[in-house]
Amino acid sequence: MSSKEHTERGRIRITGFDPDQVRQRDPLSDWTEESGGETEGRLERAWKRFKRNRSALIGLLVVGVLTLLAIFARPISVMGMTVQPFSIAPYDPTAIMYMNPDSSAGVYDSPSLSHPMGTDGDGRDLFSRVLYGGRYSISIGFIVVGLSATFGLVYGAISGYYGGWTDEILMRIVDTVYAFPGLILALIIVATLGGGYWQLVAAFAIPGWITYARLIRGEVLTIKENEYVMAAKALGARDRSVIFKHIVPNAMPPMIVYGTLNIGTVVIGVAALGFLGLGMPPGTAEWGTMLDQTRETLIQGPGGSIPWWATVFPGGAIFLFVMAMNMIGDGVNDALDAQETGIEGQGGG
Amino acid sequence: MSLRRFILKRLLSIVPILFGVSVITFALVHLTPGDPISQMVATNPHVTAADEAQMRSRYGLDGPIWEQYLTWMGNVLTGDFGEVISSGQDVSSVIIARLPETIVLGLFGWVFGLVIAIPTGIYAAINKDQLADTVSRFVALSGISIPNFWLGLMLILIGALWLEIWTVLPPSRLPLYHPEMLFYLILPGITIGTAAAASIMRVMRTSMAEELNKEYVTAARAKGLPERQVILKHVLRNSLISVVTLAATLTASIVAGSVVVEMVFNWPGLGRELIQAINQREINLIMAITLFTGVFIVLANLLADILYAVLDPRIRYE
Amino acid sequence: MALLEINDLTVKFYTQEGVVTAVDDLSYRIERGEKFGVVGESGAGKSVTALSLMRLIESPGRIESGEILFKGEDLLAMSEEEIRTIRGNEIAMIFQDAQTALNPVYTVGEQIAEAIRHHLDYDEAEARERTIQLLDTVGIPEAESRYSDYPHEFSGGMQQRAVIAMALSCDPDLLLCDEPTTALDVTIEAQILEELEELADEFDTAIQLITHDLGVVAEVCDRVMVMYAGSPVEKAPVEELYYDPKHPYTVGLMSSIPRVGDERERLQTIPGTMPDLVELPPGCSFHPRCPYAEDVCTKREPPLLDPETGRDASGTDADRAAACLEYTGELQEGLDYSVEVGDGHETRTDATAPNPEGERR
Repeated sequence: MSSKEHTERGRIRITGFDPDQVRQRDPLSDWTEESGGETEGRLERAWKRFKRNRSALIGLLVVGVLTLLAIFARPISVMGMTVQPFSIAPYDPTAIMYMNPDSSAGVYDSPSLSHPMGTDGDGRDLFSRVLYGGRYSISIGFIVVGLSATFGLVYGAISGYYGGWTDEILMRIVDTVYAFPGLILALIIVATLGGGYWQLVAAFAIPGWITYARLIRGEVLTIKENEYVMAAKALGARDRSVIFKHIVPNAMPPMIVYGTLNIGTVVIGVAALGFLGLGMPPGTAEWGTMLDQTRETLIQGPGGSIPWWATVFPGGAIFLFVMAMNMIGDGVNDALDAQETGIEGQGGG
Repeated sequence: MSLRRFILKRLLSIVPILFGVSVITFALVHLTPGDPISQMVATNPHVTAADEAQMRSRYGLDGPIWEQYLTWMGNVLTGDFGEVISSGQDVSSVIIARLPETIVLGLFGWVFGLVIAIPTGIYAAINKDQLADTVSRFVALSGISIPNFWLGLMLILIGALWLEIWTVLPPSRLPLYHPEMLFYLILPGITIGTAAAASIMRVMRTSMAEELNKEYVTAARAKGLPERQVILKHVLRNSLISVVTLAATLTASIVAGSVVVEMVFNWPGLGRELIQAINQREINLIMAITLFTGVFIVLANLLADILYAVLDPRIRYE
Repeated sequence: MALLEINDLTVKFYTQEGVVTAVDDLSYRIERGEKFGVVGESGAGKSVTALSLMRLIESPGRIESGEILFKGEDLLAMSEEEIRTIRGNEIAMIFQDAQTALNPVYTVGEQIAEAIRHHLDYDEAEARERTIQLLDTVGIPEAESRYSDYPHEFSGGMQQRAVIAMALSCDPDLLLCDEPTTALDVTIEAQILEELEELADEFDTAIQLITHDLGVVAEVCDRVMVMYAGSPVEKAPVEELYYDPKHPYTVGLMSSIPRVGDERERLQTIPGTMPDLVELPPGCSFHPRCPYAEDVCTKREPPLLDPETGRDASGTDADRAAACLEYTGELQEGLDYSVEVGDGHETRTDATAPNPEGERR
């Protein structure tokens, strides 16, 4: 229905354009098709992006330093053998200063050269306690996240992959647990089991897996619909290999991002319980528990001097660690998430 | 599917969840060995075995677990949450007395969060990767990293040390609607609101930055519409969708946060009540508050779902 | 005076991989009511050209130099406000993927009406009326009830029609169609093209049709420009392009079209791929894939030349141009291809080869 009139009618055929001539001859110039830019693997590219992110690297550095400080704060002995002999912390975290005849320190001393962060309400060196306190928070953080992530991964993968009634039921359970804030569940579990290290781990691990389960399930569902999974199955791949080869690598990125953020949340949660007096036994050099002790000092009214260092330093340690973890998490997020929009994305077609 | 049917479907679906919430509440608390009675027995040598048995039956603390659950549920559905064993008060009256305090605090935090975060997020997304964006992202990151109880303590500290404000904790005799309470509300409100603001801002910025890359934005500009209309009419509505989803999760965080913040500021709300109940092993009170929390969050999530469907017509078709 | 005159337009993108010259020294013109085709593979710079016309290029892209004269005025020199009065109003764009071009949370009717309200100053009722008429004109049945439907309630073809309606809403003088039928299946494509043509004729709208589909171009366009790696390589009126192509790339494109009854055993393509615009081959960008390339092709970038006279044809008034060193006489062996039309007679042979002894191969 064209309004044009063709001067010549009929089909057009071109002869003489021979691509074999191109393929068989020697290249005329140095230019090759690869010179435009190498294709690199996704992980490689992500790692490069991560390295470029300054705040993520700072976060990594801070977490590393804090972890090392915590490990080397005081000697560690396993079954009688001294595994770690160093002791960066100048004093024993439980040593009460005024009991020591060599020391002139008292209760709530302000920061000085011998006690860079001052002393706490029982006359203990705050600096040592803060360094040592990292052990509880950091270790509980990583352990809890490790446990919940693993359990959540398996749970979510099963639920998402098999679908149907399995999925319905498993997810209803998740929805129900989800109705409670993690901290409140942890609170009640700790109230049930009592305070202490492994009780705290349980308190946060037991409710903690649900977000991972949801994440993985979501990813599994999306990827299941993806055509390359159907293609793989059409080619005869077994269920399990399909899951591991295709689904898990794709589901990893959001898990990793959430995991790093989760560590921060758990550390804050543990400290919160410590602050409420429901975590480690009172007097433990755990960051939150230390803050519990100093709470009354803030409400003294004029006339009393407030030992600000007892509040600032332990809390500041929590803040520093969590902030660093979050920076890492953000960095991972940016690195894995961002698609390179090259010219294709700019409408170069 | 119209909006109404969507809402009805959702309402139906939360019934089993509410049921599950009650089961979990009950189960959690009854994993505890011991109850107020045993605590009283332990601390009070005059209580005899006969007294103990009598109190047990009076408070329904004897009998098999599932029977206790059914009794409790039955009572709950008629509004009877039992008694506070140590004081004899009705649990429901305690809740009624304390609930408004917590609601006010939570609401303040929420509103504070939204008011600060949404404009900031929009501004950051529009000026992506420039100084304003980098600074606000840093501030937001701090906001979600700072432990809320420490923030509260620091605010009190700053108030005391620098501003010489010595009384930040409300005297217990002031009723909530007393205007002076507003003064006491500010610090705990800001404490709770900060984390919320930080989260919302981050999501707002990310969401909007993503939307700004989409083709319909170019198409809208290609129509010659003024930039303000493109952003505020076209982009914002699509960006808010993620924020709404986040806001639902935030309700849970705000509830959890209020527990701790109420302890910091001695705020007379349900959170503080819960901690005291835990310390005194007041089972009825613990269960009632926990149940309330669960139900409230489920309803908040429902509201978010509905809001999401209002904003995004595609969802109504699921 | 031409409706649209583009002179020496250069657009660059500053990416992390390097500086990409998406459009390099481009010049062409479009007359009123004319249908101008822009052909090329993905990555050739076709869409960037269209976006530049509307000044919708965002960072990391930048319009480096050149001028875009629309009705005599340089669009690149205008203020934001002035260009906004032109967008959607005098120049309108039809996007390739109608689904993503429509905002999912507003009704289709509203998205069309808002442009009308903004540019033509209609009130709500009038704009609605006009929108319904437009929906009807583009072939959407039950236009009145469809006004309040959301984009996801439309089929692919209907969405595209809605986008066309959106573009036509304010009676533009120039319509930029970016691969308007690529996302549609063939039967719908034919309908849409037909309607586009009719509407253009009816409203006397000029069309710049961007596509990689030679069949579409043959059907609709009056004049054509072929682009490769950001530069124009051939310009011609549509018939001459098909019956007498001058540039090897055009020849390659056309020989790639499979024909029923062909004796060839394999599907023919142009060997290799379009180069990444970050690093272009030296000399003529096409030489690594050109069967007729010679040494001199790696040394000099061929300018647009008039194939008859060998003189420079890079200005906007040149209607016939090809960027190949053949037309400066520099190629030893010439371009060895021929074009046959249906009944077997040839319209073109390698008659321009300067060296009559050289039959290649």
